[in-house]
Amino acid sequence: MGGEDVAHDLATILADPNRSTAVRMAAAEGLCTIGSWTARQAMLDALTAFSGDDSATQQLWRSLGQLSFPMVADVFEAYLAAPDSPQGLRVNAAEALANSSPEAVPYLLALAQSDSDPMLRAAAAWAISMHQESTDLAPGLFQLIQGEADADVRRRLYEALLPQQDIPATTLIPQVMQEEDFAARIAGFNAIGKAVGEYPADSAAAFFDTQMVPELQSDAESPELTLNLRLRAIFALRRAQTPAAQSALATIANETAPPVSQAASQGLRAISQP
Amino acid sequence: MNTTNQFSRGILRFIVLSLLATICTAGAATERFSIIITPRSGGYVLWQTSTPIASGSMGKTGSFTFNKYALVDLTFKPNTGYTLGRVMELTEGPVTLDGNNHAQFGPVDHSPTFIARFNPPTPTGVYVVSSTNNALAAVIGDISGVYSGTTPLTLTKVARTYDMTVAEDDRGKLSAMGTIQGLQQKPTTGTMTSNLDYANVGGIVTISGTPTGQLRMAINGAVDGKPIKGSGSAQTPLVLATGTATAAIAAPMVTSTPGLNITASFRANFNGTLVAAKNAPYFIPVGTPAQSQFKKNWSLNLSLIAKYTKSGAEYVEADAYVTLPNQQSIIFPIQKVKYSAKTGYRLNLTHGKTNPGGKPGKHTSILIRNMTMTQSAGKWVITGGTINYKFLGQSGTANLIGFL
Repeated sequence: MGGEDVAHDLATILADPNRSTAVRMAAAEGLCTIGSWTARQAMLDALTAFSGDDSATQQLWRSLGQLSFPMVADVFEAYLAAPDSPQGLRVNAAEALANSSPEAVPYLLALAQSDSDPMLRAAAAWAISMHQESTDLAPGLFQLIQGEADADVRRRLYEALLPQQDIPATTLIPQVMQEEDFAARIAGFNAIGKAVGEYPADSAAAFFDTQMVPELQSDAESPELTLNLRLRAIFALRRAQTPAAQSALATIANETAPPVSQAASQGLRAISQP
Repeated sequence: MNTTNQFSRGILRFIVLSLLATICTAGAATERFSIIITPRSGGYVLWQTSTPIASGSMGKTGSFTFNKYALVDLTFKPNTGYTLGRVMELTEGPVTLDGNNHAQFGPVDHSPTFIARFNPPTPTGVYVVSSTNNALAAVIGDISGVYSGTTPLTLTKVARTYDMTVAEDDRGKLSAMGTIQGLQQKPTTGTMTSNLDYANVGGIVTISGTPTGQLRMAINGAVDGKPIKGSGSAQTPLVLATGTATAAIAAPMVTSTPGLNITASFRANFNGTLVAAKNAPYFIPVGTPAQSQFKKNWSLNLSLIAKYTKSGAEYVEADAYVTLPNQQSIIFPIQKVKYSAKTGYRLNLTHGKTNPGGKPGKHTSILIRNMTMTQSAGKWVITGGTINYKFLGQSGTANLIGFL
């Protein structure tokens, strides 16, 4: 699919008020795939036409977010800076940049650092984590974690560390051990588990085995936690791959009910494969 | 004061009233009672006049006339569910009623205006709003679980077995780890591993009422030992279907096993050759044990409880909690609610806390509007309303009745 003629056809469909919203949104999806300036303008026009329809507006922002960041930077920056932009739509717009080009990352880092709304900072941090090509962000992310007051934002920042090179495990450990929020704490354990898996000789590995593995095993076995958190506890063990982590996975596989036991078994099998 | 004087005064009063009534009848001097009934459907007023001898029922704001110096009786009757609040006369103030909500006025020599205020009904009860009762409403997807099967997503036209553990968080964001036969990933240190790590792989959003997975991933590893580097994105409605899909570089696959229709775009360098696809369709079968993970239910428990102030005034508190598809319970703060016969209840359930844990459940909100109710067999029954629900990064809007 591509070409200006197709873009014009889709733009006509998107602008046609006699068509259903679903069809018009499908046209927007097609336009974002084309990614031309015509497509961009058609989606901006549609944002005006659909103002007041939150669901359609969210879909349009998601479509716009798939364009190359230099094409839409001015639009996103203006919208996210406007004080009257509704919070839910701002969060949605920031998350949409997860699908943009890597040039969006510096802007997302700035948002994650300085926006006054913690939900938007969390959204920006999550969008950063989706840019897996950017692997040199660990020092900047660590700095943001240290200065961040909101546990939900820190959770997303820990998650953004996962694709990074050289996660500073040793300096991260005291920060993570202070976390009281389950989701943030388990996300931090995952970041350290990832670093331990890559550098098993690091001193962080011993700390991980003695302090974090028992806690992660307990989390994975706890019926009081959501399945999401229990599975993420298993992910941390799986990422670390240490003997203690493997032993914990084996215990979880034997002593808990599916699907947690299955996840632990899968993890053990994956670790043992070359 | 002796009995003779009392008798004389009684006779005199009777004569005066009779004379006044006669004068009024003869002179046709009239007065008017105006009665404002609020709210409009709250109740009605039975009225009766001595001259002329007349009576009637006033079901809405209005007035009636009578002869000057007549005696006027008013009885205030609330409609079903309503109670009588207060009756005021605009210049005199509150009107005192007897135990039957009745008062007599007269002889009346002016035209007063009354306001009869009825209290709306205060429906109470315990209700469960459950997605199990509404298959047509927007499904909120929670796909946390373990999956395995065979995938046609291959560069070598060979079906490959896979297993994948997926964790979906409270914002619908996904993290996945698994293995795909023959596929290895290079961690940041450079070591190849079959322990595939898709730390942040995308999320689930609601598109046209359907939970839709939007995925994005990069790979820098090997397939069957041959290097591959690239990235791609995919979108899939989380609705199990049966079918066949032929992809640009994948083997066609026919299967009776339900699975997911995926549209994917990617660009990669595979062993020195550029491979790419744009909006290519794929079909990934999902094994039977995992199929149930695509439709998990949620429910809202709502208690509407009558309470009383120190002065005895009645009000209603709404106590609610929701059990999400991931089994997380969110308890909302108790709130005062007021019923309107016209617009019903409105409940904005936000700022809940997780149970257990007591952590803010800030990504969960439910708005119920126009929840009208009627009494049936002594119980209040919900008769209408809409519900907007947002949780796990998704949302839906539906008729409340469909969830009961």
